[in-house]
Amino acid sequence: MAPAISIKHRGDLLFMVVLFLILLGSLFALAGSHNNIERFGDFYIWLLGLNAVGLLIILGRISILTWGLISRLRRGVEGTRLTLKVLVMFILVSLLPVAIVYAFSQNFLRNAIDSWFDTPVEAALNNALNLSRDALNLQILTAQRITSNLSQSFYDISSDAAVLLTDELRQEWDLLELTLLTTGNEVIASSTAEYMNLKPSHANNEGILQVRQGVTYAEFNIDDQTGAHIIIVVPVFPFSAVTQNRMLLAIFPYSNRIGTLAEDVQNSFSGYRKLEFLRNSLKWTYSLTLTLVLLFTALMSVWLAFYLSRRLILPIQNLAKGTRAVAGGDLSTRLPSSGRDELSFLVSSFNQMIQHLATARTKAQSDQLLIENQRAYLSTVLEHISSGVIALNAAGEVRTVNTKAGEILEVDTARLLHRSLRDCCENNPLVDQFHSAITPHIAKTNTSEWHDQFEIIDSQGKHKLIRCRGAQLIEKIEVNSGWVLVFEDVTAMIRAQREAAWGEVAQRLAHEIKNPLTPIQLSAERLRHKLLDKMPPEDAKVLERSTHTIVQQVEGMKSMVRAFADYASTPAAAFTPLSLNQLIDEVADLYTGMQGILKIRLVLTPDLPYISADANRIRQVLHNVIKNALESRKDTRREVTVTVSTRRCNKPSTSHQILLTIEDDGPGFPDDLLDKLFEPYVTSKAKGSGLGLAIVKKIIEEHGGNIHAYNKEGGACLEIRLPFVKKQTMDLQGDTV
Amino acid sequence: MCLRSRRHSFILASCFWALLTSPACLWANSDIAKAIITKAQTRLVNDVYLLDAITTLSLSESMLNALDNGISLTVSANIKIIRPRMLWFDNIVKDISKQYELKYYDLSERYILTDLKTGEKKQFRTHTSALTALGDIQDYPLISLGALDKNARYAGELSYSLHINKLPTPLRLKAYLFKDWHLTGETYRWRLQ
Repeated sequence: MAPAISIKHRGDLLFMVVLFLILLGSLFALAGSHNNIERFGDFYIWLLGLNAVGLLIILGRISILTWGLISRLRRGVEGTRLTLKVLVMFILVSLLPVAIVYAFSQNFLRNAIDSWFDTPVEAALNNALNLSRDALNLQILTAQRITSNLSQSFYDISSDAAVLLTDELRQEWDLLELTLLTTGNEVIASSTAEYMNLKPSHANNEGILQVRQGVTYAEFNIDDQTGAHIIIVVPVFPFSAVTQNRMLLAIFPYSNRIGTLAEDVQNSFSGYRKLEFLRNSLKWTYSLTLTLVLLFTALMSVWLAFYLSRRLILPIQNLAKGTRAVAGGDLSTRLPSSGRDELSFLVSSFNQMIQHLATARTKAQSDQLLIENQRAYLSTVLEHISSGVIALNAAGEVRTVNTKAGEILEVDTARLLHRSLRDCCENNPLVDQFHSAITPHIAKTNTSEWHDQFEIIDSQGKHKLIRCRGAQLIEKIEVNSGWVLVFEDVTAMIRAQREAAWGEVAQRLAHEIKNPLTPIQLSAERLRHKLLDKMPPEDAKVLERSTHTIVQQVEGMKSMVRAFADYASTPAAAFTPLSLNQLIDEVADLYTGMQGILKIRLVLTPDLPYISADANRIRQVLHNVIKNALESRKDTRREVTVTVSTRRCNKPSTSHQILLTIEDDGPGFPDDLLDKLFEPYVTSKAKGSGLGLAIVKKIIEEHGGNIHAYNKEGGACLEIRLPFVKKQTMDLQGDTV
Repeated sequence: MCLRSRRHSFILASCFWALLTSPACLWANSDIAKAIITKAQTRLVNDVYLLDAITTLSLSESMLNALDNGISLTVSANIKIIRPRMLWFDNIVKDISKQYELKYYDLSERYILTDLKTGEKKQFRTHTSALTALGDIQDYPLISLGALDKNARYAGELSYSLHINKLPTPLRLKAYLFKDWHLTGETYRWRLQ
């Protein structure tokens, strides 16, 4: 943002102030030159020139400013129209009175100068001059007559006698000087008063010329030494043929009083005529000076109008720019402030406001970041906990839901968000069941927390045991802002607990049963050995059959106990990256020689990712399932076809898993056992231990997968899902191995 | 102010100044004052160069009108002794200005010519005789021989001019602007011998 007054503008102002002072001084001197010629008269033209140049400079400056304004106006620069308005206003305010004063001044000036001249005064001066002239002429005539009379005394007189006579006559007639000259202007005799110059006067050329023509010459003169005096030159007649022709020069003093008065009249008349002669020139000159003053005032006013409008508009322009910048989001804008006026206060307030806005925005951003972090943290926590979380607002709409909740309820979480659970029930039976289960609890208003455990049936008909805990959300604004529901599928956990209990039972049972079995078997064999030969044949047969039965059953029980022990004490699995397809190929190869009994058909999707698994355990799973298929057939003559297929799961919730499907063409699972097929000691076979599929499920779950059994058209089907290893993880594992 | 505007102002000011200082070219008038020098020569008398010159002076109607209305005219005879140089300005050895004031005395109806240096006054019935006297320079001592280089050549220059600055202020601008207020005439040059 530009400063309030830039250095350029200050330089401009300084220049104009200096020019203003120079021109003002020049105008004063110009005005003074009319009254004080000695002081300023010699500089009159230079002063005029200086003023003209100064005015031209101001005019040039104004032209540049005007051009700049027009240019800005064309470009639509903001604030220009306002500047123009203020400028026009300033110019009108300043120029209008100046123009009026100028017009009146011109008129007044001309009238004032004209009023100096008056016809009666002029006539009086003329009369006075004529009177003075007449008085002078009278004096001259008298002097001429006296001098002519005196000249007769000098006719044919010697030079020596002339000397005495001039002195005598001068004193007698009280003359200033009496000189006898030849017509060649050479002095013959002369007498002068004491205060006069001792050097005799000579007749001037005009006087000599007139005397030679026999005419008397008269001259009125005023000088500083002698004052006013009359010079008379007359010929001395008759001209002598013997002596040189002579002429007499006499200087008569003019009456001091009359001389002074005559001089005054002369000066007054001369001054008046001079003034009258200069009347038009005076008007012209005064008008010129006045016009220069007008131009100076007008141009300076216009320039000042430019300057002041610029100065006045600049803060407003800055405010407009600043407001636009702030509207555009730039809160770093600060306006320059100067002065102590209301505009400066406005600018200062604007700056304060922007400062507060900037602080508020920074704080808001900081809070936003904090909230985002907290949200991200909460989201991460929610996404990685094993429980489903749903937050409902007071209207029952879902505000927050995590992925696990979606998995448990088998619904896309995005579909739940911002919708009521009730609205989501339509196409989601699990959500419907869930909603039905929690509705009684969240309908209560007197409880802030509750927990419950309920069963829901998933899309495959499996029962899921859900443990749910609800807590009322209390926010500042509302008393009841909704509920947060934390729930988990505890089916696996309950089943695991049950399996663990079964394992415990099996282990103890094996321990408790296995110990007496060997003595029982040994005792039976001993009885047979000791008594068989000694007993009658019939009894021996009975003994033989009984001991055989005992040994057989003990063997059966032993094998059952071993199975129990195997189920209960599974060794720790060794996980390595494993190609499931390759393992299936290897297992299938083992059954290739069983034509007529078993046929294994492989439908394997190539390039499947690796799984992290214990190869032996997975192999055991395959063997158990294939064996189960073989054992489940009723017609032993029919060849069993087992189809093993692999592919990647395509559902979003299971996209990280590989689906292994094993199906046979047997009678399928008994319907009444489908729900508890993977529980221990559940079997439909006469000789089965009921642990085969339980072990399979246990191994699969050890590998982080799940198993699902169902009957299809003409056979049973097992679906096993195993998580695959991402390439990065696999590389790390490979490095470790 | 930018350089361009300064230049612009300078050009305008120069034009205006040219108008002020050379107005004669624009406001020409057939009625002009002339100073035609018909003769100017020097004589060496007692190692002093004496000037004899005759100039025919005539005043314009404006000047005569002003003179008859009490305005004094100051006319100067500008005499220069110069040493001409081939490729450079002439060297001015001596610059003399003989100033005369010519005024009309209403009371005696005479034209009075005053030598402003000596204060000597002469009266004339007509302005023509006064101007004749003004144009007549006789035996005026210019420079002594000793002040000059014997091996160098010198020349004298004579011109007449009216002192506009001595006119009343209201008349000066007009006098600057109009040609009839300028005493025109070529500078007369002669070889000093």
